[in-house]
Amino acid sequence: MDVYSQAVLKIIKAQEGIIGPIALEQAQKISGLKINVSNNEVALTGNEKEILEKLVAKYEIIFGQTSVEVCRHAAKDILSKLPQEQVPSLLK
Amino acid sequence: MLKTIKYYWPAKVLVGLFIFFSIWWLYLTFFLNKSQSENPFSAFGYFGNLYGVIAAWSALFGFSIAKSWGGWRSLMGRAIIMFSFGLLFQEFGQLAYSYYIFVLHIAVPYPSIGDIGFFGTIPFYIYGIILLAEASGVRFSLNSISSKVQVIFIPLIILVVSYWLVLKNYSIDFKHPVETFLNYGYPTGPIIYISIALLTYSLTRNSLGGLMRSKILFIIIAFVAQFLAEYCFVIFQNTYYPGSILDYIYAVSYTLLGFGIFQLFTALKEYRES
Repeated sequence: MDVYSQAVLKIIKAQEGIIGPIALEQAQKISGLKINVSNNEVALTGNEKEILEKLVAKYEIIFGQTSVEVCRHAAKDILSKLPQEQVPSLLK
Repeated sequence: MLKTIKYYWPAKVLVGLFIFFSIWWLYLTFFLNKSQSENPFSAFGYFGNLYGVIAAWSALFGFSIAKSWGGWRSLMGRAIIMFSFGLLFQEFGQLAYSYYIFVLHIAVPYPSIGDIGFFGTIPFYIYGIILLAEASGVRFSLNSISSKVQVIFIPLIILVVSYWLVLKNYSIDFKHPVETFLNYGYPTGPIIYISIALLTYSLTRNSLGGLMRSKILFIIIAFVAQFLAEYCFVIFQNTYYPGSILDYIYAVSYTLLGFGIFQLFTALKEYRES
């Protein structure tokens, strides 16, 4: 699994721990993002950085900056493998 | 708030119950003689034993709202379950008191089974507010020195005020350990949950936003009301009679927490539609 997919999965899991099944429901609304919960598989088609940013923005709607912090914290270690310019601005 | 009343029918019933008990209380206060309250089968007695329905109603639908937030598996779901149990235990306490009064026809002893309900609420509220604080992102705000100062001083100030108002009047009596425990426990438990509630507000006021900001603030206000109800009761318990303002303050606090929980239903609905 590539870095973006891992980050997406980590973020969804972290959000599920806070807001429950609606975290997955909201993620499934994002175009270009396919999630197979039973296999823990995520497929991103298109601009991966943009998809990740849209996911974080989706969660920002519910708890504001707190949701962004949760996402940042969840994906911190995985995103550290990427060059800074490839990390979504919300997660820097 | 209006959206919750509009879209969630149990909220309409909750508001209806609150209006009903408010009118009843106004009638007792301004049109009836207080001396009637000595008779448990009077309008005063019935009021004092029935307004807990507000807590029971809120708890019942609270469990169903918790389920849509993921139930036990999510922080928000678990917090709502805890608040609902807290409200349910309040109703249990009231029903137990009613059992003594209306079935056994005796004055409520202290301590009694009713205290399992009233005191049992406290741990549920404490754990619930801890979960809400966690969901609100308190841990992300704990790094600064000012946050650490707040964590120390907010509970300390509340504790000092509580000691000055209530705790200093009690003495330890080893002959009655349960009574002594409850005497200290009733005022101390609410200090813990109100401290966490106020810390949640002060530590997350700059980061908490989105749809949940106003909803969480509302729950914090509900906890302040619950704390005030507990303290008013502890301080003025000698003036208590069924249907007094002390009962009405509890009715208000149940309504606020119930409505706070019901607003979380609307939050999910709004989030789905966003």
